[in-house]
Amino acid sequence: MLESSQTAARHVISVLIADRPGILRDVTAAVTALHGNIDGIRQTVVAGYFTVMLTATFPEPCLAEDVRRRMQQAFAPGEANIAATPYDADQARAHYPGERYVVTLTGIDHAGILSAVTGFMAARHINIEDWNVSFEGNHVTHVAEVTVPLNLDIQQLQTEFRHLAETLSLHAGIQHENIFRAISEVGPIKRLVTRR
Amino acid sequence: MIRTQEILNTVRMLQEENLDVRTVTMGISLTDCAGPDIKAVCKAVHEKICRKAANLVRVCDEMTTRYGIPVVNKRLAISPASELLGGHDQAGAVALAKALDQAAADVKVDLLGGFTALVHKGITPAEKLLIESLPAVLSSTKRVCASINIGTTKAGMNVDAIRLVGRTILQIAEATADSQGFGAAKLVVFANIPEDNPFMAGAYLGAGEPETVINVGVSGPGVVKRALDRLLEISPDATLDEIAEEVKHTAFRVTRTGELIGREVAERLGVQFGVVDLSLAPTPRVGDSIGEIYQTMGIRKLGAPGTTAAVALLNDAVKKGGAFASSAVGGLSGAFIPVMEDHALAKAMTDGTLTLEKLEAMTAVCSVGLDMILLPGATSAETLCGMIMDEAAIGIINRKTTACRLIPVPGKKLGDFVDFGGLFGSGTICQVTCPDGAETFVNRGGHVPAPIQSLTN
Repeated sequence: MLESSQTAARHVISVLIADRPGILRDVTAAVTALHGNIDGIRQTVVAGYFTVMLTATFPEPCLAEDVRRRMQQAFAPGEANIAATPYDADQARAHYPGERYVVTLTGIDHAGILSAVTGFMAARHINIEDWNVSFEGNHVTHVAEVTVPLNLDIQQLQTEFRHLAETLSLHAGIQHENIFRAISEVGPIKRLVTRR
Repeated sequence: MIRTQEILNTVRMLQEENLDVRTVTMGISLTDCAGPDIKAVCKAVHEKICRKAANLVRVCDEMTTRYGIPVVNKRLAISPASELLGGHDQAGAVALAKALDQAAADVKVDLLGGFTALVHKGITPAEKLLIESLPAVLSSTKRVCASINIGTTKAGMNVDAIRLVGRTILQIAEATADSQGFGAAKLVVFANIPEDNPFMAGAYLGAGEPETVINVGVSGPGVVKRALDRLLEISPDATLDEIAEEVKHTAFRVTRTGELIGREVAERLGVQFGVVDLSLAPTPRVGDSIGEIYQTMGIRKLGAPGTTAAVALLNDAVKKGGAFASSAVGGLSGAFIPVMEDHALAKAMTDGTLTLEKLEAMTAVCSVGLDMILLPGATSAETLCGMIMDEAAIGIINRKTTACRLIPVPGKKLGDFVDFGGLFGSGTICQVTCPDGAETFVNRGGHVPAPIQSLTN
């Protein structure tokens, strides 16, 4: 495992800041000024707060703290929370073994939903890769993409998950991602099936 | 990464619009089971079906779990049973049907199609035997479905065969009089029969098909109905082209769903995938009706002028959406209008707004034909033959499939109510406006020559 005090050519950088126009420009300009190449990025806004996570590769190995400090200078003092850490390919495990499923939860929002559901997932070694929550009044919709280990019985998992959802007064579903891809994409279905 | 809104749209189709796969049908060729000893034939047939389809239901259920989408019916379609009846007698035909029935029960499917004879140009002794055995076959089996092809655009119309079929339909109804002539509901008389249709009662495995194949029938009309409901909630004054667009998009989604399930079932079973049939097949359940779609479009009384145009609009939009969604579209692929199996159509017939003549016009622009039609028990064979010939003429001239499922109910007369229950539904006995007067024409027999449309080369 790489220590933050070690130099590395590739770093993982996150920026948290109150949303305003131009943030992504400021972030990417700062990386470019360091001659870094952004090779992975995901950005979202939650309740008015902008967050971006990216990976960047630099021409020469450098310290994560140096990257963080230089990027901090692109923002007003105290405006942005920035973190940087050396990228560790062994730790990252880009492909968690299993099949991708989509989890949906809908119902009246209340405290403890995410804690209970993520606890359920973790106990079964289900890897959560994306989680999105939207509200309409007090009605909440959770949509998550997860990787389910191949050794799990999907029927039993669904039964147990629905039971959990009932205790939370929610309606739940857990379905293989291919059904969503089949309906949303226009590529040949054959490609989805032979991908297994 | 799939967009959240697209995921929620799909979940809504599953949870609120009852998106499903209406049927996964395994086609099995039984041609290698033929032989001179009918007991050996029956044994070979039973063994082959049980071997090929042993895991069909289990794998379909796995798909339901994996995708959260019900596979409503799992069925079998065999190569024409007439190919197994050469040199045998009626007792042999019944024994074969019972072996098929038992095999279907053993692999836990509800219906098996393919007790079929293709007689559009001529009739062999085996095909004649098959047709003549139908009263005994359909009254002594539960799961076996039969079909007869009496015409094609290439061959014209075999009127001698139609006359035999007309008489046989009456005999089937009599043989199943204790169940209100239900046996006739398991016989479809086709023109231009498709070789890969997965829907019952007319499914069979055609001569050009693989040894074993999976064909799929897409979700029912309920999904389309609710998509239009949603459109009209947002845009109450939606124009017909906007309605067609909504149908097309919905057809795209249901076709993709059907192909995904079908291909994965085929892969897991190690057999070839065949086609997705786009036909919207209703059930008697409220909310799963083709008639309701026309009503949603604005046809307040089914059968009113404009109904045929509504059928054409729906049928065309479904095909356009489905054809873009998949390159494996086949079967019948059109909107069904089986009167008894669709509560809105059945009610319109009872109310008198929809007549057999209007239904016949509608069948010119959709699939299949005069389907699940309850007729008086006293209907003559010539009347049945005339109805079959009219439907066949529409199919033959327009290079499309048409068919008849006519049920003369013993002891019943115009206006009586009949209930078969389950998927076969209920309805009121109806009658053509002029039931007699064409006997001389029908009884001339012979062959209606192939139309000029057949000369395409």
